Amino acid sequence: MKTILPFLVIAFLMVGCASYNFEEVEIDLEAGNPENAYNYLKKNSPKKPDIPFQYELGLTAHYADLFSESSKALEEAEMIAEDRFTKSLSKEALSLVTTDNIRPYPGTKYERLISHYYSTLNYIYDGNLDGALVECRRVTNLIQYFKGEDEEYNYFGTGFLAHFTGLVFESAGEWNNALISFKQAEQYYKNAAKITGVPIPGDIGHSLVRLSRKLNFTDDYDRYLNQYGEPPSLPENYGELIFFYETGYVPRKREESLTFPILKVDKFGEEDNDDSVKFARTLRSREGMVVEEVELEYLLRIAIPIIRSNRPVYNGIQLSAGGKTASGVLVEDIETMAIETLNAQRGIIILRTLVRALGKYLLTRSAKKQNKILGAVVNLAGAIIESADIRSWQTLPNQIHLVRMPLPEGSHKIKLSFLDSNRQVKGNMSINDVKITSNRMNFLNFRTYD
Amino acid sequence: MYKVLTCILLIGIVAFAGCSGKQVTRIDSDTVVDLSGRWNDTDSRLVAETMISDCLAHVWLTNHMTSASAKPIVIVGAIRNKSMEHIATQTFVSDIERAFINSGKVRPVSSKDERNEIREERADQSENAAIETIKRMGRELGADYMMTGEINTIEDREGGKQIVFYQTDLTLTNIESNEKVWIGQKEIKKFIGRGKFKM
Repeated sequence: MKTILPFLVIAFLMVGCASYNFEEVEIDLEAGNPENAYNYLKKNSPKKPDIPFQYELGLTAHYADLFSESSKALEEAEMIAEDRFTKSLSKEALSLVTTDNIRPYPGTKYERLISHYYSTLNYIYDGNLDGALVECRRVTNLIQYFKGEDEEYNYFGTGFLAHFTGLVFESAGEWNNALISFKQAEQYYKNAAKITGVPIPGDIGHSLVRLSRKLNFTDDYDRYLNQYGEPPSLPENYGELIFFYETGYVPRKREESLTFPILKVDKFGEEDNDDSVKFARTLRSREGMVVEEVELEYLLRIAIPIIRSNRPVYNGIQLSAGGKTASGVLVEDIETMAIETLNAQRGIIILRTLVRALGKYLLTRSAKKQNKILGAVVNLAGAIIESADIRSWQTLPNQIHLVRMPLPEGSHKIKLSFLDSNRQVKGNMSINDVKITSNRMNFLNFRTYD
Repeated sequence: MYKVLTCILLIGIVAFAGCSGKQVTRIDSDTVVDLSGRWNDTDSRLVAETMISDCLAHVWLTNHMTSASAKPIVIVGAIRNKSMEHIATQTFVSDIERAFINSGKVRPVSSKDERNEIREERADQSENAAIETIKRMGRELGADYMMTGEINTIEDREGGKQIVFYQTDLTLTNIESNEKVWIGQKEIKKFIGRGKFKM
């Protein structure tokens, strides 16, 4: 009883931790009411700011045109993520007997990078270019940090962010920073493409040619011109629309049950044979193993997070205005990054979960020996608190496409044609009053959820 | 096993207890508190005071006093944030203006935005205020010098160790001749350490 009581108290403490309902957010966003989604989240804020909640709050505020609120939430998220470099020993220890959900969520590297894309846009839309440049410098620095930290860094999100910051630096007249960002983007896209499959967007090459010429870097210029060709020039009194099309949702993490057979011959928990970590490694190798019932001592069931592909109907775009058409290019595939990031962690997640499940198995067995009802209570408590860690930034889009379109100065009605995977037009809509300033990059992002 | 679980339980209760309640304590505005390691009010005030003190100890002030026989009129222009942090440059501008005023050696005048607001007020006075209290147009002091500058950062980090190097550059320019009469620089280096583990 002395062994079991603390476990039951912890289980009791953990029940009833309510949170926000993502479906409510989804309904408001899809109905075109991002402000309602933001207000709903605000109303259901956790007592202490946390991630991924701050990411959801920041993105819904962004879509609701509440740019300073959005930046504030995303800034808070970044500070939390930085502080979570320091691991809490007490929470790590508790998670070994309860659930991974008790470990503070540090955010994935690509989530942290993408939050700066939205922050930068917030500052641009607020007319604060200096603020946008601060975000660009921060994310450039963060990428350098990630690269230095991990020799096997997957470069997820880095190509797109370097590409995006290159555009912002260029729009602010910081040619040298822009050139460096585009050079990095070229390299980062290439590094990540082995997994993401996203090729280097063609406009990067043209930006490299244009900027190396402007800076009189003749060696670079000759090389890039030879590699990418002469970029199209902007006609007089024209500006450029830099349009980011964000489509669908990144697929959500779900819970999946896996079973692992403990065999009678294992004699786990008997005499001195109770090294859970060692036995968890043995069990992990038995994933999918089928055994005869006579050999089976116990079927250990665990819950782990999984992500399945959920591509949106619209996964391409064409813009038309003033008799001209421009096509979107895929610049970020968040779904692939989410799936591959989780896949890379799968082995360690299974091992941790098995260690925890074995601890609960031993506790239940010990309780049963004392009293059958107590055994059932311990088993139930273990089942209640055991849940897979399915936290992630759920409002993120599935993919981001970029359209660069030269347009004459003035106000324009832009027609959007949404394409399916066969490049067939599946939907249309228009945006009125898109203002273009000549000789400037005019940034705009747009989201669909289908 | 019982002892281990009891320890975990106690640690858990302590961890959960961290979520309860909020405490607010008033502290002196001069107290140096570094929470995040970022640029803060103390940095802003100290950099402004040090740089203005250096600026006013420079030969340009004596030269001006000799040639004009009057205190120089100074305006603080744009201080650009070229760092990796969102720094409230307006607070820094206010700190510079305060350091100028407190020195008593120069006469700072209002910035562009402030001037527009004051002009609106004067225009309003000319229509609505009692005649004997109306302030006249065209009596503003034209600045002799403008102070501009920028704040830059260089950051380096590895693991839980982070070094942030802030460099503030200020320039004082003679508005009539474009001559740069003083250039000042102040650096602050901060080390931010994050432990791998905490309780």
